[in-house]
Amino acid sequence: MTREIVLERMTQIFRDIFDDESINVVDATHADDIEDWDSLEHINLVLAVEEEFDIKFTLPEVTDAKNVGDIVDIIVQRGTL
Amino acid sequence: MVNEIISYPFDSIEIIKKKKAIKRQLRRQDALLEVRIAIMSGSTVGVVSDVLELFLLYFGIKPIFFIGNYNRYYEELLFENRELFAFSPDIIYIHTSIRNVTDTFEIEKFKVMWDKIREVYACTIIQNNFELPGYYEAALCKKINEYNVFIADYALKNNNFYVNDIQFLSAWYGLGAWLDAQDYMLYKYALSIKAIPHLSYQIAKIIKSMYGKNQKCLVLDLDDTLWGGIVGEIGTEKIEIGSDTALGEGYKAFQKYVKTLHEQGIILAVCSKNEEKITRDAFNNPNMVLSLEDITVFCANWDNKADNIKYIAAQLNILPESIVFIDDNPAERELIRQAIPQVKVPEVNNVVDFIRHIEEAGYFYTTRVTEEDKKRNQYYANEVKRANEEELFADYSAYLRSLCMTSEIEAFSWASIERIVQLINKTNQFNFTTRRYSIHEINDVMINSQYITLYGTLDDKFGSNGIVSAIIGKAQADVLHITLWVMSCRVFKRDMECAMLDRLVKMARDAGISKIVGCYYPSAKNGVVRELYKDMGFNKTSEDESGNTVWALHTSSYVNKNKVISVTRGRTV
Repeated sequence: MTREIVLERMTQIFRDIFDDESINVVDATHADDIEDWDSLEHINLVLAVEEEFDIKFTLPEVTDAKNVGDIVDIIVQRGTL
Repeated sequence: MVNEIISYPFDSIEIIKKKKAIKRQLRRQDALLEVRIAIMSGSTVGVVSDVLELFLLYFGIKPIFFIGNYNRYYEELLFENRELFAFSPDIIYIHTSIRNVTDTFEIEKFKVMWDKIREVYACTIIQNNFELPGYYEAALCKKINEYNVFIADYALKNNNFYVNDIQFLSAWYGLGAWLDAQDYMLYKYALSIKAIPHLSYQIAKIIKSMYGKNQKCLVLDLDDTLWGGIVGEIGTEKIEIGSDTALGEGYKAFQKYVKTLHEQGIILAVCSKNEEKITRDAFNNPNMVLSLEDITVFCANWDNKADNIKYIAAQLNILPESIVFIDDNPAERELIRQAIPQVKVPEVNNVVDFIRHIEEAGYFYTTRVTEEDKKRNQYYANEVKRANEEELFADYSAYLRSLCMTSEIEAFSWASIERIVQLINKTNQFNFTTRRYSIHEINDVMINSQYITLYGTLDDKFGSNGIVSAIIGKAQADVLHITLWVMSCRVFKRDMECAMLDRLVKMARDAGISKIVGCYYPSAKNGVVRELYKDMGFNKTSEDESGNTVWALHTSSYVNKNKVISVTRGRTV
């Protein structure tokens, strides 16, 4: 799966969770860029991404990810589509 | 669209993902009942309260939350807590789980905590019991079972204490999937985040049932719904019902279940495309569990089912949202969904799934069956008899006189308070202000001499209706402001409102009040009383652009209006 496709699907998840159709996520997007992105929504994001790509992040993956790009890396590496 | 995501069987991930948009849309409804809920934490509660809010909104309840600090439930409930006291909760929900069962845990401390809540906050308690551990440990499993018996015993002995049974729910969901070690280590959620919507839904079911937001009537198709086969083709002897065949066993089990609902006060109606005579005859089949007497409105004809359901609602004088419709035919279900979207239409095809679906959706979820619930079917059956009798009279007032109605109209009393609160919070149609009151607020009103309160019962030759109307008025100088006036839709057009007003005016005069003022605030459902103050002799004094109107009545020139109900002094209580 290409990074573009992953980012496109991630964008839709972000739009749903933050109820904001204007969001476009890129590799560098992180919690400070979106006002409502707090710890609660972070958990919901992780859950929604796991469902969307049918993967389960490991504990270190969740704690180490610094931005959207890190999550995209994991999804692309796992090669699921 | 929102209904599809949130109505049972819901999609947990969709709900969590789209909760902001769902909340935005559900909050647009009017006449939401505000309930103040304190959520006390034994583990993280964020998603629990977020999703609980959505389900409550879907049930017509707008929660105001107080969220306790992480894992401080015990200290926050046991010791003085000014914030919580100031919040004045209607409900305290204690979100504990097996994660709180540490080596030093003692269940007896919970009783101290519950007793304290009852003493300080005098509100309803919803307490989780405990789920079993994630891997087998005989001693711990035994302890958990003992704890759960302890909690259940307390619930049996104390009113306004409800168990949120997560031992059941986690088993139903799958204990292995329920206890997600990673979600606990990372975020301190006691259960898997994916399972949380099911937890929240179960809490919402308890709360909506407490506030009278359940459905009231089950409308049933007949062929392949209550029995197997088409009775019009195979005859009343050949339909499948009873223990002779596997399928017959299924229909028998469903009828038994429906009969139990009926005994708990759920009204039953039939809506079937059939010849009426043969379907009535089918109930003589000796294997049938339900009898014709159990069914309050019977529609077996060739008319459109949407028209029949509207007829059933009109006969019973209930709103379409109070109806659950069960039909094995997907085309009929779709027709009803399109024509009357408020009716609950579970997507079930096969009799083996009916019971589980109705129970899981919780349309008729009961925490406790009240005396009122048990009598409800008799009321509605009497109502249909009355309607039949009405047709015999050319003159409506002659008909009303023939009912030999009697009423007891008195100030609120402790004995009647439970029913009054239920009536106030579930009445949508005859309700001028859609103001809701908690049991606390009613207590306050009763002990405050500024207020005049009245409840009214109505009996007639067909039976008793119990308490059907309530008024709260607040006196300021020589003016009485009616802040609440509700009446059950069961007794519309019986001149009960006249009897209530007569008594109110008398009490106002006795208290030296010269003017009574009432307001009408329009909601989606209370159009029936828009002009009622006018019809009762009030003058309109103002109206704003949203249609809110204010009405006034001078007590000196008032002439009693009730001529058909004999009003007696109340029982001494």
